[in-house]
Amino acid sequence: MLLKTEGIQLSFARSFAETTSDKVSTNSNPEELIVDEKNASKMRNRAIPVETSMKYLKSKGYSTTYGGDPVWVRYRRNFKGQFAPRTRKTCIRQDMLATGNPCPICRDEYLILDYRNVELLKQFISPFNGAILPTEKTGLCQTKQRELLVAILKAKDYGLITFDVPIREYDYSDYHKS
Amino acid sequence: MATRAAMFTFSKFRYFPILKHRVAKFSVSSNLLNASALEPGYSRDPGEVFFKENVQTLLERLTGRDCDKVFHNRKLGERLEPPKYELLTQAEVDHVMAEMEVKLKRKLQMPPLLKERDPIKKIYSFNPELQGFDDSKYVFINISQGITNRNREVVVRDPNGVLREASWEERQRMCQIYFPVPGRKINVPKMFEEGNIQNCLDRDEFEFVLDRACAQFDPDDPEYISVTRKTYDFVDENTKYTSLRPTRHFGPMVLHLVLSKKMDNLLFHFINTKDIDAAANLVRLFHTVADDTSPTEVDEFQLIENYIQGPALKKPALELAWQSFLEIEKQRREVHSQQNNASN
Repeated sequence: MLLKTEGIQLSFARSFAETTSDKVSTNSNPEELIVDEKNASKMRNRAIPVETSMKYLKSKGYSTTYGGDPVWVRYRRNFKGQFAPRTRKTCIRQDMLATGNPCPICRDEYLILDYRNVELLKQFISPFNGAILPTEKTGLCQTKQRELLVAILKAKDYGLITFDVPIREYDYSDYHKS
Repeated sequence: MATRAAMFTFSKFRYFPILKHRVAKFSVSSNLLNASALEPGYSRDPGEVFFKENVQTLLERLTGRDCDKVFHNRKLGERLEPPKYELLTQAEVDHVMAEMEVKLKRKLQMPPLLKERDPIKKIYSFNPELQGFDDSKYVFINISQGITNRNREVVVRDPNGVLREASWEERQRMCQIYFPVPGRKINVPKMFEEGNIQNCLDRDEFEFVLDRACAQFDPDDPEYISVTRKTYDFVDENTKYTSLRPTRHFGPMVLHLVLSKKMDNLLFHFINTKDIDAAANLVRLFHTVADDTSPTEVDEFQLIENYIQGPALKKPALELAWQSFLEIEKQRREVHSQQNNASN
């Protein structure tokens, strides 16, 4: 991301206006976007690899931010009344955070929901009965909750997350003709 | 043929065409090794041995009955309820304990150890006039109640006109669609592929792998045999028997080790942990499997001694362990007799 500080502060929309000087000075790198400082932290266009996310979960920055708790514990939703409505459809629209209070996963760009990132996925599985925690509890937006479900299902398919399998009962007479 | 057609018309049956590109999945076996039961040195057909009464009792005794482990809390995604406390008379307590015995037996039922099944090859008829009726095969299944899935008729009409019995994979897939077994997926989970199993075993998740294999496959499925053997051999090489000891899988594992002549590590483990009953039962099992004899020695120490001197393969290690155990036993008896004398 290239922060353009050229004397006057350009607004976000104006930044996209092409001028001759832009064409001369822009790099060949297509990923670099011209944004102002205020909205830089709201960009979510970078594809961060899973390995980075897994390293982040073991880092000091993560532990100071979240303590030993799951990432959704210290998140608080904003709504009127006692009973929370359904969580929003998505926090991220057009590669940008579209809300001031994004859900626990969207707000931290290094939390990637992937079947290999077992440490993160396990935070959303109840330690008491093995069920996936509902959005009423975790506060995830609907798209992230769906991604979470897919990631957990895939992790269980690969055997990275263990669970209690239903007991298979055998009728020995099927296999032993006496 | 006429009788079979009559049978189908009386009972309900359903069919649906299976897309051609999925045909390949049924016929190609997985990338796991397809070793036959006798290849890695099984001395006998396990199916003969496993179901014998004396073998079953020996295996049950070896498994033991750790009720805490067997009845541990299972996380099945259900709504949790607080535990109930009841005041019962002795008769009611006995009744409840009897019920618990039945439940224990069910939970500790051992999955059968069998040899690989032969592929199904039966062809009912060949009608070349039907060639090219469709570009996919049709699979028919008899969904009447009252028959087990093993005996259910599943029949396939190929596009080249052949009417044959469905292969094992096709059978399993159809039966799973209409009579689903809990815990079984229609497509084989990726966990059972080469690299992924090893990952699970390295994390010591033996019971999980075996439970899932039991749910996913039938006991004579080549994939099931391959997965279970891999797990048993891994546990044996790394001597991690304690995690599997109170489970239903310990019996089949022991029988596998005895049949493939790898029981010495286990015997070593029993001697080191001073579990002489288990060691003696293991030796008795060896004799039962080897030549159907039950050994005449009543004394367990003598029994184990004879085995170590005789048919054992890892004699040096076993002898050393046995000698050290005997010394410890002797010292223990001396101390015990001294205590008795002192108290008298």
